[in-house]
Amino acid sequence: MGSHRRTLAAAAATILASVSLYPIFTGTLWFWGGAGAVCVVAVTGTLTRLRRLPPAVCLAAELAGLLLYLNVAYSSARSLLHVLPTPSSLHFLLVLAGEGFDEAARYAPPVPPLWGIVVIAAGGIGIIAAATDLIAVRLESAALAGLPLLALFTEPFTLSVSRGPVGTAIAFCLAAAGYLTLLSSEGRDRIREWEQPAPGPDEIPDTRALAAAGRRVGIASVALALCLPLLIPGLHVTRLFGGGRPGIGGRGGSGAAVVGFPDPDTQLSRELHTSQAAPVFTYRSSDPTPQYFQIYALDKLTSSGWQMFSQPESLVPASPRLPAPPGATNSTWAAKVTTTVRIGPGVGQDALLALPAPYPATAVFAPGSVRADRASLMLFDPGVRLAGLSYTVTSLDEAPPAQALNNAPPPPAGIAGHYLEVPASYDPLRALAQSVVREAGAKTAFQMALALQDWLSGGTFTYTLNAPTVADAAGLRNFLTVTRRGYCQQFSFAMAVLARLLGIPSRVAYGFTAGTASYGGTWLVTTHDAHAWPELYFQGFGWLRFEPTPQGGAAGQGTANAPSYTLEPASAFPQSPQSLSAGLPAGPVGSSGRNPASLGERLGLPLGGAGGAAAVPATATVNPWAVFGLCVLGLLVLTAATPPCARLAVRRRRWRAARRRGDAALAHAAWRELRDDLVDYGAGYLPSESPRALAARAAASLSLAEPAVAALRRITLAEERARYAGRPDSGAGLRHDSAVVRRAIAAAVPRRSRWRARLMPPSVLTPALAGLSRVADIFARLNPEWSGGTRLGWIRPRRARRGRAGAAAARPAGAAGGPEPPAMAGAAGSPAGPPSPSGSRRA
Amino acid sequence: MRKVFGALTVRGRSFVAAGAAAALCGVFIPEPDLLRIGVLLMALPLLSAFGSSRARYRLSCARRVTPARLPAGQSAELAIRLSNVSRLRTGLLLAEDTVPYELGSRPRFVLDGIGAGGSREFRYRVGSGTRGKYTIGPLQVRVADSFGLVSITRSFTSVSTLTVTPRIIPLSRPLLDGNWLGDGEHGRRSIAASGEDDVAPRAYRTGDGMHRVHWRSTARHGELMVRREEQHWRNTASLFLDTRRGAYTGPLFELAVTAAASIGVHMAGEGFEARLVTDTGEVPPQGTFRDTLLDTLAVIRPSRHSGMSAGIDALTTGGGQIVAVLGLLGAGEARLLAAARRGTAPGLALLVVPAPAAPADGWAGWAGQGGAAAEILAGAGWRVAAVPDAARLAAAWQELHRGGAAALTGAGR
Repeated sequence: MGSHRRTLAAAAATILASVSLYPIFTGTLWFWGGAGAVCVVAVTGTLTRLRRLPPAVCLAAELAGLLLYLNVAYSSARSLLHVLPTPSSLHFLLVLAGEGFDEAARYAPPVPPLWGIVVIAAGGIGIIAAATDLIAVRLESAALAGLPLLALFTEPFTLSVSRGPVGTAIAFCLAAAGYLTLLSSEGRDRIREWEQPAPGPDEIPDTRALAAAGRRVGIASVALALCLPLLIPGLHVTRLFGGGRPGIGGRGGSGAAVVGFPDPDTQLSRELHTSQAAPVFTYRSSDPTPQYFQIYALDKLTSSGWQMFSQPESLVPASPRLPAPPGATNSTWAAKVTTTVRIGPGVGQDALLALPAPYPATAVFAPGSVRADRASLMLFDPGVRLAGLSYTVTSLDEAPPAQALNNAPPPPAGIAGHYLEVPASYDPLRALAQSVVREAGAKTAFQMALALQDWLSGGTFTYTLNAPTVADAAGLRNFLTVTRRGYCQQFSFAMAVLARLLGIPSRVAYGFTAGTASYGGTWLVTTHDAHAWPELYFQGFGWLRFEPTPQGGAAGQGTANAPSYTLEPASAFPQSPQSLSAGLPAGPVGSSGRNPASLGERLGLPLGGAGGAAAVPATATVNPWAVFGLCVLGLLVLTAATPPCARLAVRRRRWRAARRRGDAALAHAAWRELRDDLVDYGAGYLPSESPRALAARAAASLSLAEPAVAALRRITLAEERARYAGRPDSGAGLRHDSAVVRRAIAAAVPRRSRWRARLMPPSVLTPALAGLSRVADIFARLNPEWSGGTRLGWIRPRRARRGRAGAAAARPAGAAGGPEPPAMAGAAGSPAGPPSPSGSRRA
Repeated sequence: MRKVFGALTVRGRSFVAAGAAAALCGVFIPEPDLLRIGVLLMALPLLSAFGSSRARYRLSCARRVTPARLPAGQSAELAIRLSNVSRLRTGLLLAEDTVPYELGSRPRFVLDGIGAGGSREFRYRVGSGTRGKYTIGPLQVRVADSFGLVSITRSFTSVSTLTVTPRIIPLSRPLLDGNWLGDGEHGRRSIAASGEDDVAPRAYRTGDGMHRVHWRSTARHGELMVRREEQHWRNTASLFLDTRRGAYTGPLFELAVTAAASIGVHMAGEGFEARLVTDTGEVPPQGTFRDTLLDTLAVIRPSRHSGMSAGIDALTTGGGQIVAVLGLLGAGEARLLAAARRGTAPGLALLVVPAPAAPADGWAGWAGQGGAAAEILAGAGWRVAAVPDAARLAAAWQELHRGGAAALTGAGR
């Protein structure tokens, strides 16, 4: 009987744990296949347990049953009578499984529901079920049965597939519920088998209360397990088994994590130099003129070129929302663009490390665990196979007018400190940069940037793929002053360096251009569209792309195009910022009040204002943890303040109501107030005590002084007269008497009781807790003795006993006086109550 | 915290350890799933233990064993009553009584919830095939959880004592003859002979017949005195048991104990005021003879004495009939014992020796061991019978009385 129950529990646990495999597969075919396998294994296991067979035989029988099941389910056409396996059907099954392994290797999760994969899934789940069944039921060790279940649960983890927070929570809850049910079932069986002279079938102990208690503990534990990881900041997923590709950050956090990254420069040149343009991905975009696709951003200028300075802690999960693009606080001219990218089937696993996405992306919907770099919004999806991957990116297409860009305030210190670093070897180029800007008559940062872009792409330089890669200051000087030939790598390198020398934060982005429009509204991006470009920072707009590389046809990068904001007619060079803002009184900047400064003022956030002298650190935003902490603190304070306030409210209402209703009501109010005070201060009262008896006991046990005793007597007398006399006494002084008594009681009890009475008056708390536990009972069909009983008893008996035993002190333990018949020999039962040796209670 | 940990079973502790390891790995890898599993594994036993150790209730335990003394081979009923003296309903309790292994396996009970002030009684039977004094209890009560992670055990202190006496073989009442009942000093015959009466009149009590008033004493005392007609007379006897280790071979010591117990119980039933004497002396009486006998014989062990002079001295000082349960005796000891008999009542000697059938014509030609001693005893006026196993005890007892023909003839020779 017990073994059947446990078999059922083991099967259920396996099925529930198998749910956590869902991110690996598409469709539900695999699940039903696996559930069927589990059922077959359970039935086989039950049959083997009719006789006491050795465990190995049980396992063999279960596996044989599993094989029979797979044969019937997936290879029945070749079987004898559609049931019995034949050599050809088994061979077919084998072939199917082999195909499945091939398919599993070929497809990135989630894999399509191909027959081979379904067979593998069903077989694997069946094997886990057999192991679970064997361990939990035959070997009677339900705790260890968690190991095969754990293997099932962590399978997506080893395959580097992420479930996402909600999916993880659900899968975890289901798997934990299954396992706990199995454990509980075994524990209950153990208790059923406890009775030594085995009881009759109708005397089996009722373990439902125990199971309910177990359920409560289980639910609490699962809730704790779900919530606790959320409270640990900085705990992000990294893939242990990242398919041989280096994960970014995470491991060790060794500062500049350039290690392990193929140098984007060489990669780019290799891509561009291939004679045949291979398709890389296609996409559909809601923008008729799509933006570039950034893959990575190199933000660290070293003496040997641009490198990626990756900060491990800046990688955050993008699920699906990304962190806000840095600096882009002004969204007036930003349009939302949705791009759906499908990476071509021929793309090898190592060709792209990150997902190409338009900058700045705001949300990405991709399988696996996409993580984003907080600063550059680079997207990394290390868990998936890129071939055939399809994902959707929402991004912003920024097209601010030149005027607004001219008005942009200086960058904050956080940006300036990092993105303006220039090694000394580049310093000689500063004069060149300044001369270029001076020639163009540029005043503002944006004008300088435009001047640089125009200078580089204006015809002075020649676009050719046959140029040496620039990697250091000497190479750059050679490119700028001598050869003046190059492709995007040299141009972007040069513009980014010159911009930094002019005080404009810059970095180099690598990725693809928008590609070419293909049929049916899709765009095709090939290897020849690989590109590099500089991105410059403007406060309020974030990182903006510039295009210094000559564009178009053979004389330039084929599909490159300059961003719209650099193409404004009459780039307004002569105009100074002041005249601009003065000339735009009704413009979007002034009227909408959306410039960063005023926005910042409204939000109360310190932002670098246009005229602000001091640059404010970019990190001066409100820490969410602080907010969370404050909220928690506030809640705690509120919770702590509720009981005393409730007690005060009860008292005031009681007196107010009594005053309206006359003397008798006043006497009753004083009496109730006295009882509540006694409860609050731990003296307690018994419902059976008459007013006089209560007063006598309270006066004696608390050894009250004279004025308090007199007041107590007056309250008692008033209550008695209100109850029994024809005409009650005047209730005039009762409120004062009540206060006197309360003060006297407070003075008489120890400090601990006094403070508890003030902060957590039991007279308010006890009914509240009782109500709560009753609600809890209804809610989870809980058993009264564990929640209601315990919780009530936790407070009430203590009060009562204190009250009675205040003076009575400790009675001898043996005299606890249960109803013991005198005939019993040796009736001195020592009441060593199971969980509490009684002494502790009394002391 | 220590209390919580102490409540964990091995499985619970393993869960905590495994959970801690998983959680640490989960933090350092970092992998939230692993951390979750670790937290779950840790929280499960700790919450269970916390919940179990927080439920505080007090129980009192009363126990009763009926009968408290029983012969080997029979069983007694043990009743245990658990009363909940706290105001909480208890949870599921697993009770286990501590029972010595000689009495069988430990009984276990599940108590699912005793309400406040309520009580629960459960009974079980214990019995033993070997005599002895056994302590049953204390009762242990465990609080368990449904996952098998927590086990809090508390033990009561009260115990019950069960005395398992030797097997009592019912002996039939022999045909009475003058030699059997009473002895020369206090027996019935002396009463019948002297017709002694009214030694001490006593005060009149309501209900006494007027014809019993003893007027002379009434005159002397100034109040109504009546004759005392109920007679206070006693049959005294000494039951002697030879417990010397050397006197018995194999299981015969147990047989001797059984025989002594059976005879003693029989004598008590016959109204004898008897005492128990062993080779080491008289056993100090505790309560009635029957109690003394059974309590002593329940725990008696073979003694290391070689002689039994102490016991024989004790026999000599006391009066009354002597019933001796003997093992192998040397001739000297037999003579000493034979001389211990006083008065007219015959001594009865039961030889617990491996023996063939009882001799038809005197002990001299008897093939059993101890023939010489039997001869000496019989010669001194004792009635002697031999018993080799428990089944023949009743027959031997009858034989002792039925005439003890052989013995008497032996005596006559």
